[in-house]
Amino acid sequence: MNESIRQRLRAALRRGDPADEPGLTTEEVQGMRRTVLSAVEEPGRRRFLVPVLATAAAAVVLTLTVALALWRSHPRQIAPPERIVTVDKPLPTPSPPIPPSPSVPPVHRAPEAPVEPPKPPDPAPPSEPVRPRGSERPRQKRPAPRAEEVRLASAPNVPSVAEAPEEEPQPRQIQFSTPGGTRVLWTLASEPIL
Amino acid sequence: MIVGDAGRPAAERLAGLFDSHHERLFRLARRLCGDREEARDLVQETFLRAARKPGAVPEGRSSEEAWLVRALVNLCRDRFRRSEVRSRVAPEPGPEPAHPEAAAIARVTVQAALARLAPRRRAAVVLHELEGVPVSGVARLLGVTEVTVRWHLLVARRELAQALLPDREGETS
Repeated sequence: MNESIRQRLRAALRRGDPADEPGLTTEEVQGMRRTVLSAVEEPGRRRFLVPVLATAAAAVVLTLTVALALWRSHPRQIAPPERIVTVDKPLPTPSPPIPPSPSVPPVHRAPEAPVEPPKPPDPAPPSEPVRPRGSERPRQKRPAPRAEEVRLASAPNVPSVAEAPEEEPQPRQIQFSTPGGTRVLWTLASEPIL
Repeated sequence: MIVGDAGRPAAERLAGLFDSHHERLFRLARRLCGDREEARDLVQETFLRAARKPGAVPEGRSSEEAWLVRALVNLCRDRFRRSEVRSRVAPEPGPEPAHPEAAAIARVTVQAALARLAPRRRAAVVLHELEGVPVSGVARLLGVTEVTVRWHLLVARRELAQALLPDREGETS
């Protein structure tokens, strides 16, 4: 495009330039200014809401996490002991205190029920606990019990159990304590129960 | 950067920006689109964009101006795309003024010719031919290279010459 055409084009454009028209009026300028400045305050409110919502969401998540953790760590519901057997006949002297497991409260001895000291444990301790008649609890797999401890399925919270000293001529005895501190002694007859 | 700690500084900063540039932006918007009301809407929307993103506007008068011009051109382009049919076809001749004058006729003709151009090309022509901004300045304002600006000017002049100088079509080179 030669220069003359360019000059003519520029002249035509300037003839049609609307810039000579009056610009915005004072009212238009003030109205526009108000509109624009009012839009600036909204982000502040939004900025205020965002951290509040984020904090609320974090609190909800934390609460759910804590509740889930507590639910998982909470032990199984303790079934009430099916039977509490009281022993009438004199019992042998109680076994020496068994060192409790870290998560287990110590066994409390009842002063009125002396028990004989335990004899050396069986070479083959029973793999399952001796249950009173009528127990319907299924067999439970568990690690090999310690020699001085037998966990009863009917009372899973039993902190510790002293193995009843075996006396062939005398009936077998099992004693344990409930979490509440009640001491339970079971005396089992030597004859098999049918 | 317009940074408002509690919103107040951002408002003051934006007020200064508005006071400094609203006339210039309106003049440019008026040249880019053929309607005064549309030009006012474009200017308001441009400043609203700055208000919504105060951190996006850079510091410095020339940088602020470039950002605002670019935002205005982008808005123009958005409207142009939305009304593609209207921009591709020659606009309907408006109602004849009560007292037709050559200047008014020329204005309508020029606006119609400019309306056919793509917004960025239109902006390049308006900035360079009507406002006298050098090519480098146009490139900085539009955020493009000088080569791109020269290309836009070349194509725009060709198209405008066909519309405004029909008797010289054959002399274009």
